[in-house]
Amino acid sequence: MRVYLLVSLLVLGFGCRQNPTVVVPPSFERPGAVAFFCVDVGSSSIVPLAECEGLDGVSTEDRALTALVAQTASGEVASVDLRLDRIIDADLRVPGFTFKRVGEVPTAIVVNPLNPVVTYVASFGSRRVEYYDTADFREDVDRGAGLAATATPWVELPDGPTDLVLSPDGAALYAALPTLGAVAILPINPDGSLGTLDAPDDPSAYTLVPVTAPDPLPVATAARRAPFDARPVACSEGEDPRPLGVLWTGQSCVALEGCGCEGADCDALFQDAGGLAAIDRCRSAFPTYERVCPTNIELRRPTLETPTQVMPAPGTPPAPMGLELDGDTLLVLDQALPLIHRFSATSAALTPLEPFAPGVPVRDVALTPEVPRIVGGDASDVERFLYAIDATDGSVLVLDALEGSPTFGAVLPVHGGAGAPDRVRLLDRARTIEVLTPGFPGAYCDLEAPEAAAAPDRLRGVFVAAGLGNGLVEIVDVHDLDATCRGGDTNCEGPPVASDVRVFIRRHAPRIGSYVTTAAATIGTPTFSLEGNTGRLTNTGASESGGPGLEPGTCPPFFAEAFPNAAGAMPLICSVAEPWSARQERWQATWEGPIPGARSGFAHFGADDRTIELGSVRFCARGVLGRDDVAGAGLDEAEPEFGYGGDQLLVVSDPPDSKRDDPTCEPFFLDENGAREELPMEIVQSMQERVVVAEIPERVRRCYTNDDGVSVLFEVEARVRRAFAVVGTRSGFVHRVEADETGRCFIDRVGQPVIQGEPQTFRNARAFNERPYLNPWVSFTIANAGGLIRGDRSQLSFNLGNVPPALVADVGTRGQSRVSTVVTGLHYSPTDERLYAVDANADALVQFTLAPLSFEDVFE
Amino acid sequence: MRPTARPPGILLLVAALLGGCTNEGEPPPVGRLVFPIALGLSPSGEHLFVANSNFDLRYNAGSLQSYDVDVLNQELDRACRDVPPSERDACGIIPEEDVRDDLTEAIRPVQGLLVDQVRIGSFADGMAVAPYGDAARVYLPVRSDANLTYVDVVGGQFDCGPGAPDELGRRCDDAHRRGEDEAATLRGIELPADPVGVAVGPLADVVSPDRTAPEGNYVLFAHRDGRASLFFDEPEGDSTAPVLVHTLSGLPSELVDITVDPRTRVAWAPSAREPVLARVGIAFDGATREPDRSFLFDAGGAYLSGIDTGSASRGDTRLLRFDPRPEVERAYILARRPRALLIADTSDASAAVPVLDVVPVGFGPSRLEIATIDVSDPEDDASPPMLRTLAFVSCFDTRDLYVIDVDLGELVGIVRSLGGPFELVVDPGRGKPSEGGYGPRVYVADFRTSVVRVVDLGPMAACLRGATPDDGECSPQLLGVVGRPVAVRELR
Repeated sequence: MRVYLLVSLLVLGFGCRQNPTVVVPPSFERPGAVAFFCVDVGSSSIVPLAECEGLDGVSTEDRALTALVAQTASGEVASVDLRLDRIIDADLRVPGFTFKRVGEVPTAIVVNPLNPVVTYVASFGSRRVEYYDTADFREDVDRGAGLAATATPWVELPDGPTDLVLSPDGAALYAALPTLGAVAILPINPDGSLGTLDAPDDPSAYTLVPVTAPDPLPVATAARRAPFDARPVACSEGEDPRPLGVLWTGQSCVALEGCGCEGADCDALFQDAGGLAAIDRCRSAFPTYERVCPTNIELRRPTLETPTQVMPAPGTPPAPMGLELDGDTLLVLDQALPLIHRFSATSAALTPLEPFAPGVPVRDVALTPEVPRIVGGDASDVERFLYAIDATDGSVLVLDALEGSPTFGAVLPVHGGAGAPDRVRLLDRARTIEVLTPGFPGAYCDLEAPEAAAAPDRLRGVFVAAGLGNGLVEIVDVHDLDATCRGGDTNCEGPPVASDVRVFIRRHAPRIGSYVTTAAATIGTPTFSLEGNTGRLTNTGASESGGPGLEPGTCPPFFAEAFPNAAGAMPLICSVAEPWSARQERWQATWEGPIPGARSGFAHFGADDRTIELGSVRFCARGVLGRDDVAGAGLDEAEPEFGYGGDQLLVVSDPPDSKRDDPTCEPFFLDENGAREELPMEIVQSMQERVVVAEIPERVRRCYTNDDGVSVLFEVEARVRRAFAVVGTRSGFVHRVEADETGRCFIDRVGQPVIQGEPQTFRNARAFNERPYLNPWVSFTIANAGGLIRGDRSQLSFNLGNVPPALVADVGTRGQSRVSTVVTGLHYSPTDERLYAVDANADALVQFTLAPLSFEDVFE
Repeated sequence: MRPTARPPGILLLVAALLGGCTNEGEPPPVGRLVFPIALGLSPSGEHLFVANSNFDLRYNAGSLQSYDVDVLNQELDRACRDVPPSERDACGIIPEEDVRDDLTEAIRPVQGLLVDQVRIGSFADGMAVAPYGDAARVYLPVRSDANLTYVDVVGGQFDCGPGAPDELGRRCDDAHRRGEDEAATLRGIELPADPVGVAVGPLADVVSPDRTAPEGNYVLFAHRDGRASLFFDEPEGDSTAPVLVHTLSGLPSELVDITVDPRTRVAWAPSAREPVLARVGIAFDGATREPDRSFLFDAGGAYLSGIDTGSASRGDTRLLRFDPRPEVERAYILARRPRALLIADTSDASAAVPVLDVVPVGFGPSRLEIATIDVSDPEDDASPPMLRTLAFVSCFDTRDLYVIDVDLGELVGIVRSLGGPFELVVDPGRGKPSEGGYGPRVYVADFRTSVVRVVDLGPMAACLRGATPDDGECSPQLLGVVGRPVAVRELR
C-alpha cells in the first residue's frame, strides 16, 4: 500500500543476481510491515533512498539497501542487508541473532526516503508510535549527532495504530486509530523526534482528526457515460419496424429498431459509414481497452447498473484501518463503513474531502498511474484507477480515480459474464493487491526480439497483482505495452508468434497466461445415457443409446460452439466465448435428478395433512420450487421457468424398525440391492424449512408414523420433476430462487430479471425436452426425451475444457513441492522490476521476476 | 514434546498391558497436576476443573480435580503480584495436600485450594461441563478404554460412585464409565475407540419446536478414526446415566474435536488430515422419546474456501468455535495448514465455507477459545460495559498465547514463555479487585510442565479501554502458576 514502494527495493533481488547467498532470517516471526533505507558503505552513513536506485545489489557496490522487517509476534524489527544478503545482528554482545526490540505488535514502519536518519514504528499492542535513530538498526553506520537519549522514545496514543504514513512534506506522520475512529497527526520535531522528550504521554504530541461519515451514507454509483436521448416510435398496424441506427445506452451500443425516432439525440444515432458498421463506429466512440483476436469473436462488454452496496447497521462507527497517500490526498480505508475517506493532507491538518463510496468496506487499495484509454493510445486521453479489496468477501472492485473525470469516484463495470459485473474475476479471494509498472512508461512493442517478447507471461506496462487466499498471485491487465503486437496486425493477421492466434486482453480482466490456439470446447465425446446404456452423441445430436439426444441449433449471443466443431455440423453444445467467464467443469443434466443440497435428515409430518417439516435446510437457497411458486410468479413465456410444474419430494430413509413386519412398509426398506420404493410427492409450495405437497401418500404416512400416531423422523430429498436437473461441478445448480420475509420461496424476477440476448441473466438449472436450455455458461437443446417417465434413468454428460488459464505466480512453490501460505503483503520494486510476496505462514519473502513472470528465489 | 492429544499407540498398548497386570501401580497423588489435558469452569464460575491425563503412565490412573477459583486467585495474587514479571513463571501456589519435598520458596502450599479429586481413566482428552438438574455434570472422553466418564458436581464436590466425599483421590466407579458395556447399549453397538473431543448441549435444543422439550443433555463424541457418537443423558426414574444412542462412521479421518453450532444445532468436527470439516446432525425423535429412533446423520462436509493448505488433498484444522454473539454468523477455526486463525462466514449452510480473514499465529497452534469480555474498569460502577470479543490461541511449539481481536482481525497481544500451553479457559472475572475479586483471566494448562498457568488480562483490558497500565505494557501478563513446574524429559 505504500506509494513509495519504489522502495520495494526489498530486494533481496540485488544480492540474488550475483551468486545468491540465501538470506536465512533464523528468527523471523510473523513478518509484517516492511521499509527500506540506503547506506553509503564508504562513509558508513545513511543516505537518501534514491541513491540506491539503479544498483544491482552486488557486494562491490558502495551503496547498500537495507530492509527493515517488522516481527509482529516478537515485537521486534529485523534488519537485512540486501547488498551482502545478511541479517544484521543488533547486539553482538548477545549470542545468536538479536533484532531490535520495539513495542508490542508492530504494524507499520516508516523511513523518510529523503531524510532517512530516523525510523518510525507504529506499535498496535503498545498503542504508540516510536522513533529511533535509523542507525540503531545497523551498528556499522555512523549515527552522527543522533537523537537525544531517552528511555521513552515514543508518543503514547489513545488507541492502537494499525497503519502509519508520512505526510507529503515529510514533516508529520499520520496514524490510523480504528477503535477510536480517528487519524492522529504527529508532528515531527526538527531533530526527527516526536512529542516532548521524556514525556511520552504528553497529549499535545498529536492531534486527533475524527474520521466521520456523511449521514446518510453515500451509496456507490456506477460509472456511466450519458446515454443517448433516443427512443423508437412504435409501428402502426401493418407497418414493419426498420433499423434506425445504433444507440449508446450509457453502457453499451445497441441497435435501435422502430418506425421512427423521438428524442434529442436521434440525429446522433450511429449509421454505417465509410465502410465501417454502425456498431463498430459506436464502439469506437465509446471505446473499451481491449485487444481480442480473431476479430469475429463477439464478447459482451461489461455493463453496470447498480454497484454492490452493503449498508452497515445504523450507528456503526468508522473503523479507519489503513492509510494510503496519493500526492496531497490521504486515503483512509474503513473496515466498518462502505467508504474510503479522503483528506487534503498537510503536516498541520487533514481537511476532509468528499469520500469515495465503493459500496463496501475495503481492506486494501492500489492506485495506478495514468494510462491511455485505449490500446496503443497516448497521454492525451488517459484514465486512472483505484483497485480495492472488498473487506466483506475478498473480491476486487475498481473505481475511477482520474481527477476531473465526470465519473470520478464511481465504480466501474469490469466483468461481462455471469456474476457481479463490478468485480474482477479472480481465482480466489484477494488478501492484498499491488500495482506493477515494469517498463512503464515505455514504447509500444519495443521488442528486441518480437517473438520472445509478445508473450502472455511477459509483463510490460501497468498491471495489478492480487495476492490470493489460495497462495497464488494473479495478474490483472491494466495497460499492456505489448498488446498491439499480440495476435498480429489490427486484423489479427501475422502474429509474431505463430501460436498467438486467440488473444484476449481487456482492461480490469485477469491476464490470460498462455498462448491460445483453440476455443473452449468439450473434452472427449459427450454422452446421453438411457438405462445404463452410455450413449455417445453423434455429430447430429443423436445418442447411440437410442434415447434422448440433442437438437442442433445456433449459439446464443456471446457464445461459441463447443461441440461438435465438425465441418458441416451445426452446434449442439455452446459455451460462453469469453475466457474470463468460461469454466472448466463437468456438466450433467439428469432426468428428474436431485437438487444439490436439498436434503434433510430430520423431516417429519407437519400439523396438517400436506405439510412436511424439514428443519434448517434452507430449501429456497437450494433453488427448490413448488407448483404454485412457479404459477404465481407471473412469468412470461420467454422466461426459462415458464410452465414448470414444480419439484418433487421423496422419502429416502427406512421406516422405523417397528414397521419391518408390516408388508405395506416392506418396499420402503432398502433391499439387498440397495433399492427401495420411492413415492414422489409433488411440491406445491416450497419454503425454507417446510414444504406443502399435493398429497402425502397414505402408505408413506402409515409407514413413517409410529403406533401412537406420531410422525417419526425421516430423510427426504427434493428432485426436479419431469425435467432435467442441470448441474456443473463448479457452477452447481444455478437458480434465481429467493426466500421472502415469511420464508416462502419465490422466483426473483425483480432482482434477477432475465434479459433476452443476455445469457448471464439466465440463471436456471432445469432443462426441458425440445426447449432451448441456456445458463450463463452453456447452452443446448434436449430432444427425443418426451417418452421418459418417472423412474427412468437418463443423463446428458459432457466435460468443458480448453479454457485458457490465468497468469499466476505461486507463493508456495518450493521446487518439486509446495507449502501452505498466508500471503500478507505484496511489494513491487521498480528498481529491479521484481515482485516480492510476504508469506506469514512460512515466514518467507518470495521473489518473482516479471518478464517472464516466474519464481526466482525465496528467503525463509 | 507436544500434546497432540493422541498419545503414541505404544503407550496405549502399555496402558492395556498395565491393566492386565497384577501390579496395581500407584494412584496419582492428591493435589498434583500430572499432564493436565483439559480444563473447565463450573456453571457458577466458582470452581475450576482440571483433568489430568497421566500421559506418561507413571500412575495407575488419571484424575479429575476441582479447585476453588476464589482461593486460587486470591492466593496467587498474594503470592505473586509483587514478584517481577520475569520471575513469575516459577511463582505460584499448590494445594497443601500435595506433599512433596521439591518445592521452592516461590511455590506456596495453600489450604482450601483443592476442593476435591477423583480418579478416572488415563488419557482423558477433553472436557465438557453442563448443568444437570440442580447441579452440574462433567463429561470426559477417556481414550485408554474408550468410554464416556461422567461425574456429578455439587459445590465443587464430585460424585461418581461410592466413597466419602472427603476421601480425596477416590476412584470413580464403573457405573460412571459409559459406552464400554455392550449390554448397556440399545442397538448392540459399542463406543468406538479413541474419543478425542466432546460437546454437550441440552436435549431441548435438538427437539423440533412442535415437540415437548425433554430434560437432560445430549453428548457428542468425535473419534479420531472419523466417527461420531451420540449419548442421551436424560433423567429417567432412578437412572441418570448417559446412554449410547448411535455411532456414525464415514466421516473424515483424524478428527480432533467437535463443536455444536448454536444456530443450526449441527456439530462441526475439524480434521487434522483432510481438507474438510465433518458436520453431523442430531435427529432426536422427541415424539416417541425412544432413543433407538434417534440418530446421527452426516450433514455434509464443509470445505473452507480462500485458504492455502499447500495441497489439494491435505488439510489440518484443529479446533472450531462459533462466535458467541447471536447476531454474528461466524466461526473461528484454528488451523495448522496454514498456521492461522481462520475467520469463516457460516451464514449459509452450503458445502463451501468462505474464509473472511486469516490471522497468522505461532507454531503448533493447539487450542482456541472465543470470549467476549468486558474491558471497562471493574472498579468504576458508573462506567458502561465495553465488550470486546477476543480469540485466545495456545501455540504449543512457540510456547505462547496469542490474543486476537476477531472484529479487527488484529493480533492484540502475546503472552510468551508459557512452557507448553495447551488447553485454556477464560474466566471473565469476579467482583472488584479492590475488594478481593479479580478481573478477567485465562487459565492455561501447561502440558509440558504439568502446571496451570494463570494469565492476567488486566493490562490488556486497560489498554483496550484507553487507559495506561501501570508498567506501560499492554499484553496480558503471566500472574503465576498452580502446581510446581516439572520439565518433562523426552520420552524414549
